[in-house]
Amino acid sequence: MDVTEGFAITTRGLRKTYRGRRGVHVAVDDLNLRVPVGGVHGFLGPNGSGKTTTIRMLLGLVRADSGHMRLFGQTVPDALPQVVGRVGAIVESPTFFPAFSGRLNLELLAGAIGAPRTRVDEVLDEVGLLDRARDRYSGYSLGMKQRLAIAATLLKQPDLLIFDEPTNGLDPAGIHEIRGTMRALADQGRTVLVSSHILAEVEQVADTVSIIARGRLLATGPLAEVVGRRGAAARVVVPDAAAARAVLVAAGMQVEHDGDGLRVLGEEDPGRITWALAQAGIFLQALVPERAGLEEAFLALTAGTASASGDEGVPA
Amino acid sequence: MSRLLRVELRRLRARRLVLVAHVGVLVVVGLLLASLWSSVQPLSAAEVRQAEEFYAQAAEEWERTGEQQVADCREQERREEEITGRDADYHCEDLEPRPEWFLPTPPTLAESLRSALGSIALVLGLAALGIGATFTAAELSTRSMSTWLTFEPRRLRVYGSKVAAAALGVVPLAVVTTALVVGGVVAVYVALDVPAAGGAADGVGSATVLQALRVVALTAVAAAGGAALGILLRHTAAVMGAVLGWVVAFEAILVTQLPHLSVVSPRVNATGWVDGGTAYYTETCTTGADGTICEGVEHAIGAGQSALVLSVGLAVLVAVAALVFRRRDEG
Repeated sequence: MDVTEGFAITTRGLRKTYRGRRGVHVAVDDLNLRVPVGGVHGFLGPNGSGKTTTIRMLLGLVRADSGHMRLFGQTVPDALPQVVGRVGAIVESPTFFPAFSGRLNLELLAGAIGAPRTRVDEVLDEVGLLDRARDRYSGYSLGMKQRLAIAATLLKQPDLLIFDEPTNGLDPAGIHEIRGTMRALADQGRTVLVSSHILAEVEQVADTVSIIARGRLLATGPLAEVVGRRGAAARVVVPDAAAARAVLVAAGMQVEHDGDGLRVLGEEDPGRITWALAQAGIFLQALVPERAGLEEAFLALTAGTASASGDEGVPA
Repeated sequence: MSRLLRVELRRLRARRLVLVAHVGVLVVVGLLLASLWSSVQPLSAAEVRQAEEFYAQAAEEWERTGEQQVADCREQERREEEITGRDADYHCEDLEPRPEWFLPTPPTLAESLRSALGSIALVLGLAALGIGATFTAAELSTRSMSTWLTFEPRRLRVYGSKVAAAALGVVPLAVVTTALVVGGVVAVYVALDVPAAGGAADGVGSATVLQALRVVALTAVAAAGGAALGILLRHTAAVMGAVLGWVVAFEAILVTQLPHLSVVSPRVNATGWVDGGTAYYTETCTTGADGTICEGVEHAIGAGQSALVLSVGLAVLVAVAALVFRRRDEG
């Protein structure tokens, strides 16, 4: 059975090191990544965690030291020429010729892949840049540059779009716009991989996520699953907090005081809390399940990065 | 490849620096023709009168001291023969002043054409080197190359299209420039009614066309070399620095100290190619009873040899840049 079936991106044992004045720096280490076909996949990690290096390796811009990579089942970089037509990518900040107009920049790229010139105006229109198409790229705002980059990726009508830190430097309106664009692209049936260190912005749009730190994968899977498993909690209000805490701890739960009540951490099933307390004759005044954000999950995951293995918590 | 080449040629034409280089070359052509215009102007009456005065003074001096000058000359000839044991010819019979020595004659049309094309070859070569270098280096320094490679990941194709576009893209500039130079030189001679130097105009046409074609080819080679250097060094300024360093360290210092290195000098071979051959000189010294005698020895470099050296040099440069670009991490 082809293990890459159903995945737009797979990597296995991917490793990249850089040699610098301070010695060898491991940018990506034994990375096993799987991005399912369809939807938005958040590729998350702090700055310097290896996200951009991974993307560059997938696109053939950087050579991997070892490991395997596939895009839509095709081994890259060897088969990149065959599959690159299905992949549109913006790596870090958009890079175009500053002295050329937005339209000329896109016309050159369209010419390189044999796309008709009419396609250029179509994608410019799609990202709302048609009116400014004749302006020089150097005169564009950051948001316009990002939109032009998205337009460039759309020239190929790709099945996979890779956006690396797409909202860097954008104002809230620009961030909202980019988020909407990514969602719309995914809703058209495309796969969108968005890398970011700003977790909140990805949380609002991602269907699945992979979290990496120091070049290693810490967790991957559907957003709700990754967040839920790592960050679930419940706030409990009872008449006798001390007695209730003793009961819950005895039942194997992690409990902390929270004002006039308690917080039960890491417990995904509130029924276990009510059952344990009821067994001890303690009846709840309130039980409020708390769904932790991606940020909390991320912090919990990265707290032990130094000892984390590449496959820890990966429901692959 | 042809699709990429078309796109690269379009990009080359759209670059502002390329346009500036074109304008710069045309300005140099204008200056060159203006200089020629002034140098082939007929002598004014005052200049003719002054030349006649100088001739008269020289003739008078010859009347007084001519015999002695010839005798001194013969004596020096004899000494030279004694020292070297070989015949010497100081042209002692040719010392009497003649009027034409004092009336400068304008260069012939053929000489002017050869000289003007030789000068413009240098200008075109440098401009093409700069155009090629900025064409590729700008893409790397602005990191636009990363975007480009996400559209066409076959790096050798990308590289080949850029180098080829640089070489082909400067051909129109070279053709127009050489045509302007040739046309301009002829126009100056016609406008000033300067004789093309009695009968010496025979064969000027074919020789000029051949030389012009060589200038065009050299321009294309320089652009391809510049593009390869741009890929290697990533910044136009770095390319210009490297070229300047080469000129100072190799052409100015090493070749002067070790003249035999001229055979691999790009400057010497470019001249050899454009002029249909050139020469470099070494000194051979022998020490005998009468002291050390040094003689200059001329070493001819044919156009074919120059073409071979330039071709091999370009091939090595282009191949090294291709290997580096193929394996280098981008972005």
